[in-house]
Amino acid sequence: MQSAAFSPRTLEAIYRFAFLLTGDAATASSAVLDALREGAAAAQFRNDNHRNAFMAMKVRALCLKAAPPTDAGEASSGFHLMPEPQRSALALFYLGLVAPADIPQLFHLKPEGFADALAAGRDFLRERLTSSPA
Amino acid sequence: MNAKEARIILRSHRPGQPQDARFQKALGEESLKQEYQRQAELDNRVMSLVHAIPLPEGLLDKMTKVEPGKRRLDWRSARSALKQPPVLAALIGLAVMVGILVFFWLDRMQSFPGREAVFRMISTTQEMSGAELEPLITEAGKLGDWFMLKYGLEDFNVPPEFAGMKTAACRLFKQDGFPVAQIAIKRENAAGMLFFIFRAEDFGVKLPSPDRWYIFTQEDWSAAVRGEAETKTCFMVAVRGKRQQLEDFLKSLSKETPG
Repeated sequence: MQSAAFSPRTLEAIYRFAFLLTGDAATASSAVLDALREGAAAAQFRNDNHRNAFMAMKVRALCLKAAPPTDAGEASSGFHLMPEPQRSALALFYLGLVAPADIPQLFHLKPEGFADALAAGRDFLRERLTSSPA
Repeated sequence: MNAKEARIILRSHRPGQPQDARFQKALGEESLKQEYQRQAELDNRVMSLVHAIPLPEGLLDKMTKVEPGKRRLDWRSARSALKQPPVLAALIGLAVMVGILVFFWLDRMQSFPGREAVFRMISTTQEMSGAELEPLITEAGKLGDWFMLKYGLEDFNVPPEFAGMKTAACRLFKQDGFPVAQIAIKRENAAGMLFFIFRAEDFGVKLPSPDRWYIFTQEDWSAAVRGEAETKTCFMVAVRGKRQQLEDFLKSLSKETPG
């Protein structure tokens, strides 16, 4: 059973990651369930951080394959409108699904590039949050 | 540590993470400290937002019950998989292989020992002037007796489904020293049709399934040969025309003839 590999808290974070990438609950749910069916949880990993990273990348691949997100998405933060890999890196960073130190190598970023991507993402979110009603 | 390095450390820091010595050092400059505080405020706000994203009802339950290896089939993913060059190449290769196998299978289905001798009977027809045939207008079914009386050949009979057809002429010729009966059929508004009757063993003809027609084409003729198990003779119908015409003719006979 899947629950043995991921805690409910981690499963929730995985779904939220997919939702942040797509901005659509149905697409996110489908991507997460498909990734779990593909057996991402069954593989052997050195630790939970590696397992979560593998699962996150699997979900990301399925999300990016799905229809491209539009501004009409359900997510008010507009997270899903950010470019890749900034969007994925920032989502993992905020959700705490993967240790921040491991995120840059997932997207082949240098520490400086990762820091820049986070800064650009923060600027985007600050603008969205300031302009949107609280 | 310069400002650039300090900024990399501070920008990559998530609120709640342990604050090690390098982080403390990066906070040393007042302007960077203020920058980080503004960043941390935003981070806390975003983190509370993303952690509050609700899950669709029942999804968590589904996620905990998923069994690996049972991915549902999605037409979109199947379609995109078909567009992958290796899959496409494999499919084309498979189609070619199936085509070749079908070709050989069809060829094998129409092949039988002694086929060359039968082919030669048709080729002989190509060289005929018409004068070789003896005019004889009667029902094809009556020719068995005629061959018996005139040439002493037993069992050179026309099968019952062809017995009612009118003959125009007939002859007996020898191929490799063995007798072959040839009958020209009188057909109005239709291409020429010939019947051949011969003993299977004379020409080494062995039909794997004697009850079925073996159809082949030879130059502008299409022919169908069938074995008669009881008399050990072969009966062949040849028409000047396309294979499909002959197949249609044989089908019409089987519909007309009960049993």
